[in-house]
Amino acid sequence: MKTLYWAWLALIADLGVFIGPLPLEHSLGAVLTVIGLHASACAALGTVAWLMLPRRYRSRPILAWLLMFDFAFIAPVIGALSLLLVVHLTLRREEDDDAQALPRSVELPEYNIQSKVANRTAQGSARARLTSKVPDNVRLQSLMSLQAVSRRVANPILEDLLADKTDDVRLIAFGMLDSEEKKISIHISRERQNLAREMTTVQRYDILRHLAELHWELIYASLAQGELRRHILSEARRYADEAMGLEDVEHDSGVLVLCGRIRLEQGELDGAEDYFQEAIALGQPEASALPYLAEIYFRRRDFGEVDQIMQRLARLHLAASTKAVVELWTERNMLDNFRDRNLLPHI
Amino acid sequence: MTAISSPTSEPALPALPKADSVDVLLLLEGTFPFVSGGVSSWVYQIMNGFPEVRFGALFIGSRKEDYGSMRYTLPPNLVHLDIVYLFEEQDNPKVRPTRAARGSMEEVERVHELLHNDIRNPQCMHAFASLFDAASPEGKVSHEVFLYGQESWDYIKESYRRYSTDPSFVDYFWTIRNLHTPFWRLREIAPRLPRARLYHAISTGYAGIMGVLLKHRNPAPFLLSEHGIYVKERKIDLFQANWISDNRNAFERDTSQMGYYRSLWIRFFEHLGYLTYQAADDIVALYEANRQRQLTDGAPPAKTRNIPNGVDIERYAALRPLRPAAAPPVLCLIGRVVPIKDIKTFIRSMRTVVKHMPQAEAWIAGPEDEDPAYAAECRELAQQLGLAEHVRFLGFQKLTELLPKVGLVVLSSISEGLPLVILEGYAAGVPTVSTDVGSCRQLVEGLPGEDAALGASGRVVRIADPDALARAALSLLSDEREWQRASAAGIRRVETYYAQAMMFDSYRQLYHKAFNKEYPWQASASS
Repeated sequence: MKTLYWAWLALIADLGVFIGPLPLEHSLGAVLTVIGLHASACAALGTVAWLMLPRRYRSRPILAWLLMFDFAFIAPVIGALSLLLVVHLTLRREEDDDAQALPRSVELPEYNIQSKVANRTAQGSARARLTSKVPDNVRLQSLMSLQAVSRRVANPILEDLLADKTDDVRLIAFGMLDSEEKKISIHISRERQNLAREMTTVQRYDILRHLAELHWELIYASLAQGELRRHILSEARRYADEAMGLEDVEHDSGVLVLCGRIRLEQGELDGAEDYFQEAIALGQPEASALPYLAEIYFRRRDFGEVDQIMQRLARLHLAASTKAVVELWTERNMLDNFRDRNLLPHI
Repeated sequence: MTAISSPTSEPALPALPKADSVDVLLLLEGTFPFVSGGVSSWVYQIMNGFPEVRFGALFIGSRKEDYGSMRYTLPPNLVHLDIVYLFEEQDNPKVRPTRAARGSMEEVERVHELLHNDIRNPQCMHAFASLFDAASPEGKVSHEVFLYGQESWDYIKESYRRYSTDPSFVDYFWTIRNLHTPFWRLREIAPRLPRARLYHAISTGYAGIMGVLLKHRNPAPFLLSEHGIYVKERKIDLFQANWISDNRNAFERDTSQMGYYRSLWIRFFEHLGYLTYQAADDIVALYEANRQRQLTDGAPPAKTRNIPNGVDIERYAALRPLRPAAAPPVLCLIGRVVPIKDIKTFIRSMRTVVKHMPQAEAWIAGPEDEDPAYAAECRELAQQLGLAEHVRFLGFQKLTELLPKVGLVVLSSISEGLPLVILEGYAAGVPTVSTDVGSCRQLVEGLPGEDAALGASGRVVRIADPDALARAALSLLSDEREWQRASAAGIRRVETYYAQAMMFDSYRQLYHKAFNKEYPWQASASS
């Protein structure tokens, strides 16, 4: 607004020129002086008015300025006065506009999902909808649905898709596997750093156990294959063994089960059996440890022992997937026409 | 890999060159001169390959803090450089009640209607360009109208009611704002860009759509060169993005259906790509599979062609005698240390390699500053796998010094176009082991016919398969005769099909055609 004072000063000066003695003199010098002073006042007014213009009218600055100047110059004093009045009125209008621009509550639109056509035609298993015969947009949608599936089930499907011919499918599958692996690796990295710090034996035990579990998680979720898988397994075993080797700590049966599972995965059946037996002796619920013992006996082709374990399991409260296996073993003689796929729907 | 060969290290941004007119205005999104890598190297190569052409460039970035200093010394024939950041915090116009000019919202509605239901209508691209041009401060759809106009608010509410399958209006509102804001940023910069005889975009997306606008404002030929496929890359990012919300409740949610905002963003980039293809006079892909993808995404077949990348054969051929007689047991990945290169798979593969070849080393030669967190993860992984002795992070290296010391160029990327490093390795006599991405199979096994008859110049493996990568590398490094065969095939292949001079010839023809064209848009605009 200070700029406007200069405009008023210019207007007063212009007025001064015309009501002063100079216009009454009849010399060329006086005429030129009047014109010069008037032009200067108009130039000042034109500049101020131009500066006050909204930005959108300033795209052609010379023409805009000339227009302002002409307006003030052609009609001495009256032109300048009108120009200033317009500037004032416009500014007041803008101030009023700003005053109106206070926050006010607005009405939000209502949401009605009924009005939209939902496409619910995507039926069938995720695997079936991911085969290369299915259109790519359906396959991509199906990939999204894998996010709602457990990692142990989804990851092998994603692993297969890494060789897919369609770039989008391949890369999204990679991205999903990679983010899963990254989540676990970040924890591993943090725990490895923690392990280097000074700590009590109990704290050390907790970290070693957590590290063993994290490495095992990479195996369980099928996030490593081949030589890498072997290496991660050996790391899981190293951390678990180190935890077991700590004295003055109360070892719980969970670590023993983990030690057993690692050995089972590495094919060391005897070592694994010892750990599972010890875990049960330490109070590990039979429902979670006996299935692994059954697997060990099954691999040794000792089906009599498997049968006995299944009888023990049949008396326990089991997860649905384990229960189906137990029923297959314990009730198969009672069924006339059993079909594996009916009894083991999850396979 | 010229990108890495010629970076500068000035921390401050030098004064940008300015000109009123140029021969070719390059439209670059997230690449030269602030990012090193294949596309940037190519841009640099093109400018140096045509010293007689006066280039201008517009760098389009996300936010200033996402980029460091310039990675290149600007060539003398780059006479104009402008920068625009699309998602930079910026003051919006002053808040005040704004009314849209009569008829402007009808035009907005008409363009949206065309995009939604009739994008193949030839008028769609022109209607869009015209509306885009009206997004200036004095235009019918100024930023103020979009941000504060009652009509704009009403239109957003109406669109939400009609289309949104996500219940959150707040998220809908902000998604619409974020989607559209770049248009005003781009429109704002358009008047200050120099006039050009040819607009040359290096991707679709924001760079491509800027080409559509500039062509509308100053009718001149528009050339599009795509290294990757921008729409595909954005789609992949968006499928995995966890910043996009999905507010459907348990009853509304169908896991097989993508969330509304995710699909909105994907459709947005598909539309940008489609409109760019329609506006472009010539569309270049690096290889046939990408050209086919462009056709699928709506590129008119008659406009498309393939021009593969090329390298300076003589420069790298001089390195062949410097290599030791036996292939060094060094596997070298040359590239930026970023997730798309999947450096982790390369590191993991070394578990198997060193088991069979204990003296083997993995070198990772490339800048680590683009994604320092990922670089740290890679180093940590090498530690975790007990490979600290075998994996070396070299940072930026001069290829002419590096290539004579390596036995294999390894590429473990999950996505590539036509990677220059493979060709540069071939020219220096180094075979490659690459993942089966982009044109890598074509580069290694050759196109059917005479190219394939040259033999395999390396191995191709599945992405994210460390074991397969290791086995492929070992099959070459542990068999001298096989390695020599692959090396010879690589040299023949690069000399026959991927010489830099061939690429320059193709672009020279395109540039000359554009410079000498009596432009039909110009005629129609003046009539």
